[in-house]
Amino acid sequence: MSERDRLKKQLGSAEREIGYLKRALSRMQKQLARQEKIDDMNRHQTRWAMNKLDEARVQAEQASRAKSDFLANMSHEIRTPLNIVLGMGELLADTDLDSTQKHYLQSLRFSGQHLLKLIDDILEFSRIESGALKVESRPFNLKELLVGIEAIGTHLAVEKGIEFELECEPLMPMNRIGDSRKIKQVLFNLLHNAVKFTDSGTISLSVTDLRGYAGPSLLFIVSDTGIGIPDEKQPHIFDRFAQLEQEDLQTRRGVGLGLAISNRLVNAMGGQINLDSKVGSGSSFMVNLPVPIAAAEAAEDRHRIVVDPVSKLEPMHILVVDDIQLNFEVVQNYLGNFDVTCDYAENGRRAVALFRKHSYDAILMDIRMPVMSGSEAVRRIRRIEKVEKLAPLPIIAMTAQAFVDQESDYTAIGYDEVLIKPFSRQELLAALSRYTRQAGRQKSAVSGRAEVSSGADPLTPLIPRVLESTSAEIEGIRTALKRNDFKKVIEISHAMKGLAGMYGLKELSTLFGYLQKSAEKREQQTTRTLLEALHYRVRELRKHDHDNLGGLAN
Amino acid sequence: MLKSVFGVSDDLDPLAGVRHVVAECRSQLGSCTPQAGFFFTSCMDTDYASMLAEIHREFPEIKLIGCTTDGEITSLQGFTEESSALLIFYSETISFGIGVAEDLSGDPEPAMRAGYEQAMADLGAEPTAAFVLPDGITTMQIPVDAHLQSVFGDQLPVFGGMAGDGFRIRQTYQFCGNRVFTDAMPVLLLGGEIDISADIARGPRPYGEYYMVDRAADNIAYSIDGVTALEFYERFLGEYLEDREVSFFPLAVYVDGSDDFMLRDPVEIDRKDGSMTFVGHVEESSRVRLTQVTREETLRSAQRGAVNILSAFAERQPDLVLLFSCTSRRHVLGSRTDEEYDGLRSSDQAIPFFGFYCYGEIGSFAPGKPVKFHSDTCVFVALRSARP
Repeated sequence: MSERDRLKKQLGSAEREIGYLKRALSRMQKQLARQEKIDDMNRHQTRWAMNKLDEARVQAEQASRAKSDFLANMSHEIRTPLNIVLGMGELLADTDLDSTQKHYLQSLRFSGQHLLKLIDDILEFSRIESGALKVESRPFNLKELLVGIEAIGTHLAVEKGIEFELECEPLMPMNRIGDSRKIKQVLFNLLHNAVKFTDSGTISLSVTDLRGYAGPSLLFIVSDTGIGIPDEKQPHIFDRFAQLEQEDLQTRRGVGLGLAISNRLVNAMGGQINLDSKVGSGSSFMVNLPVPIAAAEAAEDRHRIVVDPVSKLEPMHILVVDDIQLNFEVVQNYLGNFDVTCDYAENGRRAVALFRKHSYDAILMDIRMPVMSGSEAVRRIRRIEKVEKLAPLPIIAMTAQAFVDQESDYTAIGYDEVLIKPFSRQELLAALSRYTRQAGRQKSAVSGRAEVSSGADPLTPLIPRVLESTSAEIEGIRTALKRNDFKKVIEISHAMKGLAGMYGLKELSTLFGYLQKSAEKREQQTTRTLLEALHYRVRELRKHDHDNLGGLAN
Repeated sequence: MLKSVFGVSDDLDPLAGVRHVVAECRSQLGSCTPQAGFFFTSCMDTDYASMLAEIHREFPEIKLIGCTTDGEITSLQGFTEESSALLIFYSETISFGIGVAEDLSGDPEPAMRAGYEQAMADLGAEPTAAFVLPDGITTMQIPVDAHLQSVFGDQLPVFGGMAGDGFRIRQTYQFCGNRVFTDAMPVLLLGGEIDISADIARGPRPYGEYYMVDRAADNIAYSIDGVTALEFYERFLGEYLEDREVSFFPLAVYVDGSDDFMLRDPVEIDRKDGSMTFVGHVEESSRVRLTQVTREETLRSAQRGAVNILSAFAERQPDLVLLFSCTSRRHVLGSRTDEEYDGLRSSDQAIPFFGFYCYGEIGSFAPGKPVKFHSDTCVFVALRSARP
């Protein structure tokens, strides 16, 4: 092979090699571009999917809210006529009835109450199942809770002809942190259950302070001497709709939700519920709940069980906002023995103006008011605080809306706490004392201390004025009803429901509540009947001597 | 034992490449007589008849089928493109028969039946398994799997891949003996005692809501979820719908209320009526979901596929694994294409594998289940002579 041929061959080989590499490079470039495009498309898709997920989340939240609203409405729609039935039954019981009529009425009232309890259970369980259960950890007084439970337990036991006992460690710290409403609900369910399945003997509630390695907890034991639960039924006793045998159901009615609700509530609070039962001997339900001692309590004397939970209040300057002046007077009277200065505003607009002018320690704010609602006023006050860089002022809502989980809605608006009307003096003091204890809060220039008076109810002297005002408002409702002005009827009824409750006139408060509901449903006949019932009751009350009014109240 | 030898070449000169491949096979075969084989090539615009002639010159008796592809797969070099690969079988216990279905899109079932009968006559025994290599472009609107079921029955395992053309989507070629076809389907039947284990690896993952195909005919979807198919795809691919890569994002099509789904790649958009043409049939009233395509999931699925077929042959390794992998998988995998066979490489002994990237895969989800046409999958078929 000549040199020329050799070089030619080498050149050809090199050209092939270069061609091969060029092809590989070109493929690689194409592949790279394609992969970038696929990556871009994947990213685009991921964004699209994320947006869809976001939309789905919003829809799910809306659906959940709609369900909650539906449940809330159901609660109103079913309970309102039932409450009227029960209220009317209660009024009827006060009239002259012969023994047969009394017997019929008793059956009617019993069945009505039973139905109300069933509806409450079903609604409560639905709310829990829908995820609407919110556990709130707040300071509360265990003694107050137990006093209420004792009253309920005793009442239930007496009606059934059995005994009720409450046992509590004498030196137990009473100021605790937990969800007192849910604890009360659990204990009530267990007591109700114990009474239902006990025909003779005793039901008891014992409370023990446990201090295990997992932190302080309370052990509540609800025991009865009832029929007991067979071993094979015990594993399912906390399942929903779990019931005993058919023959028991006929005498002890229920849908089997009480224990299921209790179990879920206890679990939600981080506790445990256990059962010990023997057929023929009775049952014991043991509820262990983490209920820590409130910080203030831990530092103080443990003998405080004998002392009223809130007996002292720092000097304060507060603003009370309510369109009904008599409500303001309730607050004023509740705080009469303390060094607390109370200013009054009749609506939200006036409250905002006074807030700008004075330096308050707290505001008690009604929600529904003419001119400007409480919530709008709170929003404005929070805006002013933000703009002017002011420390947030404690604002406590006063409302007759009693759905527990709505409290978080109020918190979202800007309220620090909610007082449900009618509230007791202790509840008011407890709420206010929480904010006087907060460090760094600027106080207005008032000083001194005062003790709670345990004397006569300071509101009693005001009741004649309340009744007089109530009579006037009833006439106002009558006029509004003639004009078919249901909006006005609702407004006045709502305000009067709260006012009557604040003065302990529970029957009137209940009737105004019924009136409000029937007006909301535009039920002419029921509204008129209720109005007449109210008119009659107020007239009766006003006939009594001033001295008797304290007894009538409550 | 089922023995096999193979060679692969990506020489710039396709014919030279085939010569190299033939020489490689010959050197491995020694004095053994080749019985049957697969020839796959991703070299385009080439004289395929000359390529086949080169093979037959060396192996005149070989029962050969093959096709053009979108890349070759061999355990020798992994993934190669613009290459040619030849696999040759020989066995004392297994027999082979070949046939070809011509004019496939014209009258598919009679054509397939003729091809099957040719192969049956050539085999002269009861078939144990069948491999088919239909045209991947002319058959897009044909329910290939339904015809295969009808012709091959529901007992004979049928596997294969649709012929490709280097992702140009113009024309594919099929080979049977020394003849070159288009719009055809070569058939290779295996007879004798042979163990088969197969698995179908799917990469794209359906996600999100289920939608309803409102109107469809054959492989064209007109309306999905109350809007045109085009508007439906635009929802989640937006401006990228213009790009060719849209075909890598298939629809998951659920049929008969089952959880099993078929993947259908969109290949053509008609902007006038908003319809979209898919590779494979889209049934009217079927439920569909969108899919996401990632390299990781594609590789994971291949790994699972390899593990599944090998675990079925735990006591004795397969003699050979055939792979029919969708062209979209290799485009999605890009520089990581070679990792698709890592599951086969990781076994104790080197397992020979051979296959190609195709325009649709053929196989059943499980033994005894009807043969189906798939997209975006990799069909693993492990073969082993029943007697060692």
